[in-house]
Amino acid sequence: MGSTQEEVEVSYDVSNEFFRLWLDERMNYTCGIFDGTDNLEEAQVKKLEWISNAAKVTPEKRVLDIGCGWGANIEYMVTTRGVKDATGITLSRAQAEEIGARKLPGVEAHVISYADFQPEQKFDAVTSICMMEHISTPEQARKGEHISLYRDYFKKVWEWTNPGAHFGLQTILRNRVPRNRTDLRDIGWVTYKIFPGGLSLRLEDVIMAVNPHWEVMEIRTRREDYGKTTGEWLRRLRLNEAAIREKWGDEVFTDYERYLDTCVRGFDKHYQSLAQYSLRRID
Amino acid sequence: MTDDEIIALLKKALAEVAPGRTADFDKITLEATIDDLDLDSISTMEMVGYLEEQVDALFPDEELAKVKKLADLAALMRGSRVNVA
Repeated sequence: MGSTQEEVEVSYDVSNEFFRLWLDERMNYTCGIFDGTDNLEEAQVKKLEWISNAAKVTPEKRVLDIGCGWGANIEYMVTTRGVKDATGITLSRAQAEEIGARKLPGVEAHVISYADFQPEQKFDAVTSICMMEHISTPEQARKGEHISLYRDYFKKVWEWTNPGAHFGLQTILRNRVPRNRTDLRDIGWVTYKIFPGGLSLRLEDVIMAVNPHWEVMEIRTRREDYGKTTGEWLRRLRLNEAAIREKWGDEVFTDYERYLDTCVRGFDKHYQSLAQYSLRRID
Repeated sequence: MTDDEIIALLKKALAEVAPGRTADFDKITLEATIDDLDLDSISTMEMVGYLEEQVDALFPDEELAKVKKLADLAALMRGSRVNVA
């Protein structure tokens, strides 16, 4: 079901040091919010703030972060929002290792799929930033299985939470299939080479799948912000070209340059967008 | 747009995306299916892009997904803002 561990590790386990060269200092590998700033670091903090607000994160709540990446969101919740009990799950061993290295009090990170996760205690708030893209493969979507997979995910999160829980969610959206050869090929290449097993969602997929477990309280799209985010990643990647080619080889550099350039075009031409959601558990 | 105008436009689109196959599409009708065109998926989307440009419209992806015959494509073109010279 969805991306396998091997596929996830293709996407996130090139090397933590490699990603550190072109992401922000906290290693957020998702869209920032550039409201009132052109600085990537500040934009990423604004994103983390939005997601925590959407999940109504407060210090006394037990929080789950699904697809926790290298721990940027958990670190923010613990250090800035005062959370004392946070759990992260990821399928990437390199990411879990990085979270461990951050030595955050009250934080547990598990290498496990959401499909197998069975927490002993329930959570009061949930966040998930761009993990749903790994729930359905393109092949499963072509067979029409994707909505059931997304709904099953929302059902699981409902089962893991206490009444009154809120869920701060962020997903990449696929808005429109390109109509020209270059863009079609590049987007297909990114899907299969950089994010094998992954698929961005359509906004209507989320709206259908949250029922009957979660109520949509707020949705905000951020297409232009993701264009700026990927543009800044591309700029930083190119600044480090020599070091990347030397340490990880020419193919890693050219692949990631093509991927990020495709993303910038994809957001600019409305092929892709991004949405942030505040969901409330239907008790 | 009349059927003849649409067929003429489809032939122009096919000449763009599959040059050298003009003879294959010479007797095409709106009853032909997309599969009958024997185009790969990229060329099919390029053909759609050409038609959208010509009729000055953007067809929704989910409507395109339902297209089986050229007549279905014609319906999308007729439902759009027509701006053919």
